[in-house]
Amino acid sequence: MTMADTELTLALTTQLSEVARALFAAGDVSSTLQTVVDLATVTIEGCDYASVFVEHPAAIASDPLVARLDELQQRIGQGPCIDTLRSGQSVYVEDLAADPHWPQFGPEAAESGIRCLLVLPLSATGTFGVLNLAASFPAAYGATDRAKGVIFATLAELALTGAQTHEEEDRRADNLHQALVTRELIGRAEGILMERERITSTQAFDILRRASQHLNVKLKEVAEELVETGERPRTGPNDPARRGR
Amino acid sequence: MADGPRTGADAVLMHLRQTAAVPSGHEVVDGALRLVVALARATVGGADGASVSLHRHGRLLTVAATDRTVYEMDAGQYLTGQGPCLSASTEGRWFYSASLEDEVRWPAFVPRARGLGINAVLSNPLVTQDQPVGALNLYSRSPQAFTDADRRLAALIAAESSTVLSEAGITASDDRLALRLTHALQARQVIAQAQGVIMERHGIDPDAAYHHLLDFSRSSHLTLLRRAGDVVASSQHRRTVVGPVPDGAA
Amino acid sequence: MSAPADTVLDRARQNAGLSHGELYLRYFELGGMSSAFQVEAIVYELAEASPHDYDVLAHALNERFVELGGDHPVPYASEP
Repeated sequence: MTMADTELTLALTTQLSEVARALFAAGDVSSTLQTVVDLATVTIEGCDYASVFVEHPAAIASDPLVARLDELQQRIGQGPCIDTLRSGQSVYVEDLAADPHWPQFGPEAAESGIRCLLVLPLSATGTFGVLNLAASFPAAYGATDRAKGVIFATLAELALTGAQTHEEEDRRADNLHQALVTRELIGRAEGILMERERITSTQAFDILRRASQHLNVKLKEVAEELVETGERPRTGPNDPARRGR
Repeated sequence: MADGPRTGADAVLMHLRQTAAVPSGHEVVDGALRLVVALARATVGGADGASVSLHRHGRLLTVAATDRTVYEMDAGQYLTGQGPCLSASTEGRWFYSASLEDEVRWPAFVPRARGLGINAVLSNPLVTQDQPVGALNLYSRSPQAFTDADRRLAALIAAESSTVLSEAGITASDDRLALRLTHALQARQVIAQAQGVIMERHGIDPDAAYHHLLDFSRSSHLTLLRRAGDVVASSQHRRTVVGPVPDGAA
Repeated sequence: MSAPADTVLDRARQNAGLSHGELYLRYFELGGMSSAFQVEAIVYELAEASPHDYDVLAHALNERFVELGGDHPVPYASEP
């Protein structure tokens, strides 16, 4: 490896981890998308504007200029983003003014100030979005920039998956909080029965369980009733413990 | 209770992550690490393969590798309990073997590695909060493969990866924590049952019962859990009850 | 774990429309003391459950069935 290559690699590595750090720190899906857009223009030389489009949940972060380009593509039904979303392949358009692939989109885009476009798919188990890197000059991205774009898109995929996971985990944490509260309520109900009837926690659980079945209500409701009123729950018409009292 | 339910819920969440029934953030971190090994393999001169091992579920696991041979290299180390990857991930410093043919360390591991065609190995530790959590491993088919510059680059990549792991919240204590958390959750349940016993015995509400437990454990110098365990056990014993005359008696 | 043989508890879990994680949460809420990993092993009959543990799992499933408008189809270990 030449000295220049090594320096480039060092720079790339450092930048990579800075980007990774920022992306992981971003948090929820919309702030992650915003971070992706902000970092793209800083990390990738030649990139003047960036946008990220994610299908589910529908989310977008964009410079207004690029947003217009997306609208344009939706309106005329053709364009590199549409192609990438469908094919999962990245597209590099060196000069939108001169590219034969998009006879309608190309010139209009060039007119609005975007000459060069690099569109990268964001994929996990299928393409779930695109990253658009737009420049006001043609042929704005060299091989290194395009390589950085690919790495950047990979990190964005990871960060977005992470952000979605975080949101799910927040919901899960709330569920767990509630489950823990209920679990300890049931524990207290067991304790009451253990002391009252000189039984083990397993036997106490059985009583609560049978009552839940007999009364057709959730076990936690039986437990709550017992803790609040002190009244022993009925476990059936022939409740054995009631005999002889 | 003294440590609020929120802490308990976070603890439970981590417990569930460790026991892998709930998808964890591991996929995200593993993805980043796959990127790291690809980058390392591509940029460190002399490297024919790269892997990252992390301590997880109480063991060292390969979470990213550039090819099969590399998996087998790592597996050989886990099996024999020897090797630069293992050493780096436990001792927290780098290990380099320029020529496995002349290597005297790791006598059980070296023949296996040479059998796979590997002749030089470089392992750098991954460290978060000053504790090693794993290693970044580079392998070469040729001896003397890694120059000083290569080794510096490898160390840099490992250092940057450590930062990423820190940001993702991976710490050495996670693993030991899982076991402590299981015990903590079981302990909370015993304490809840003891609360119930005391509520019934003294006719008081849950908070008062909790304080009763706390006060007694303080004055007796027993841990709260120990006291709770004693209370629960005491509920099983018949005591002579002085009180109203039972039905049927004169 | 890889796809295992058909077991009573796993069939019930699937009929109840619960993922392993969701079943574990319900089991945990009822006071279950085993880990999620152990519960999954029990559901797949790769590990034996104590009668109590089995009943907590069975009740977690039965409560779900009641939510869906059914009865308590999963039998308990403590009822012969």
